[in-house]
Amino acid sequence: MLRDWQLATVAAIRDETPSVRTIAFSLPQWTGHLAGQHVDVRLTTDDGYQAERSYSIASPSGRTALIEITVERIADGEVSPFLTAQLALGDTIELRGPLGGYFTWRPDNPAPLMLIAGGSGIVPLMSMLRTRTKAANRPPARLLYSSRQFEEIIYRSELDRLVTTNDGFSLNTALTRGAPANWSGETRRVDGDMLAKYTFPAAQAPHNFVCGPTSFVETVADRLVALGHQENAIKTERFGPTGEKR
Amino acid sequence: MIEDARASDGNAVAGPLGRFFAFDITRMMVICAKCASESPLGALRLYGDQMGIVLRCVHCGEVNLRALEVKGVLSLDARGATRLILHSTVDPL
Amino acid sequence: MPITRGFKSKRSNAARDRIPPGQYVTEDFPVLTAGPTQRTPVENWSLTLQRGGEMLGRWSWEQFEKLQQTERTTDIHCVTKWTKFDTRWCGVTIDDLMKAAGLSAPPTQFVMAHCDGGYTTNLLVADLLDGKAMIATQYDNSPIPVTHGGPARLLVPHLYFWKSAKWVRGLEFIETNTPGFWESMGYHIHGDPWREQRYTGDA
Repeated sequence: MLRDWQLATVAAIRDETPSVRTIAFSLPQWTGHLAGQHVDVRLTTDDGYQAERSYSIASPSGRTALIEITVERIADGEVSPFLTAQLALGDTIELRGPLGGYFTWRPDNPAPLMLIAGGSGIVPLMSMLRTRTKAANRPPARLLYSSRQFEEIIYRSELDRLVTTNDGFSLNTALTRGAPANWSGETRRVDGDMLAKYTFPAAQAPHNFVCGPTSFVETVADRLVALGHQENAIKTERFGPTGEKR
Repeated sequence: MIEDARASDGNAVAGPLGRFFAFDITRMMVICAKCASESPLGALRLYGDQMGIVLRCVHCGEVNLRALEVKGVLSLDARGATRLILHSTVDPL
Repeated sequence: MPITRGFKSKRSNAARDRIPPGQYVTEDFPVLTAGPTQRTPVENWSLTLQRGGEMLGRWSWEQFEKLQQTERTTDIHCVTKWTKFDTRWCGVTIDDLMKAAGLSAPPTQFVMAHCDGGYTTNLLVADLLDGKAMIATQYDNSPIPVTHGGPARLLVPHLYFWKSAKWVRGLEFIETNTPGFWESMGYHIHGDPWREQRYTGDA
């Protein structure tokens, strides 16, 4: 039952970047999920203190008893340092889901798929791309991905491979804090000009998904509206101000 | 939900509030009592941290919905929304 | 409740007699908010005392700074269970504010605090007088950061910290004890951490 907590067992661990880790969980009571959905996890200390957080599902949709989440370690976070450094193979944590039907994409949707990610906002959008790859009919898809530095681009090699499959997917990346010498992508924050250049025009009636830190999402969503997209063709998921010190 | 939480919008309440509803509340359309704009609950701005759920209009900032669970009982205040709308068919988007 | 192997809480077990029931001590100063951070420049700031639409006192920032300032070191307790020891504040006590307004006695027994952004909280006048509360403008010898309620917040540290309203702009004397923002959602109308008055119906 999606509303109840179930015990998830760590089945695999994979580091994506120095501060980002993918964790695969096996779940006896999983009913499948849609691309874009998330799970809540709950951790309990031996004195009864509990911490809950939600994480987007990175793996593609489908009937599976194994899902993946991708977690970015936040320096003085309470939960992410534990998940990215201490949680080990075979450990169990409580997990609830799949959750959220608003920020989801179904592969039978024929509209051009526009994905715009800021930092770890790529995670639910990657679930959408992976779901699209498994589908029989693939609508044209574009990803505009803003990351701080080259080494921090999550799923970099998988995204590069996807581009080479030549199935109607294109990728543009913007690095905001410096790029390697041979970089051919953008080197500034996503702005109106970049969106005008790389996104599907409003006339093609794409469905736009924007995910990342709150300020990024709201800036991008405003610019998309200014480019003529309808509000109901723009779906947003805000991660809050990552890295904010308390 | 704080610090490294994945969302600070209504998407994050799917778990805490979803337990009390038979439908997916993040898809529910909320009409703001102050500016009359219409937004899916998942797109409203989420505040309140561990005190409770406060969902605000993205256009005017008005509090549209508040929720607090105490000892297994959910209290929902919707005075900031004039109407709540849910479609029975799945959103094709 | 399954315990998560290796997950340690940030709690410490110092000075148990200073910790109200159900609380744990933190070194952090968590930020909780019911809305966006308010950023009122001091040139646009004023504080008022009112009753039923009648202005009893009004101070601009300049005028407020000229009032009697009091320093206070105190523990604070949030209903979300964290307690922070020895926080240092400076501001104007409500007693001094009333004096400055020429009020020898409070006109009613209840107050509603009003804040930029619309947050409200209700209090008994008795919880504001006799040095129990102040309008604070400094934390730890510096102006209170906007995320913690600057330029001025109410400080009522003997009650749960949701009563210490951030971005305070006015105190309204009201006739009945009317619930404010969180009280109207089910938090306790009084909020004494030593009686663990967290929610309506507690103690």
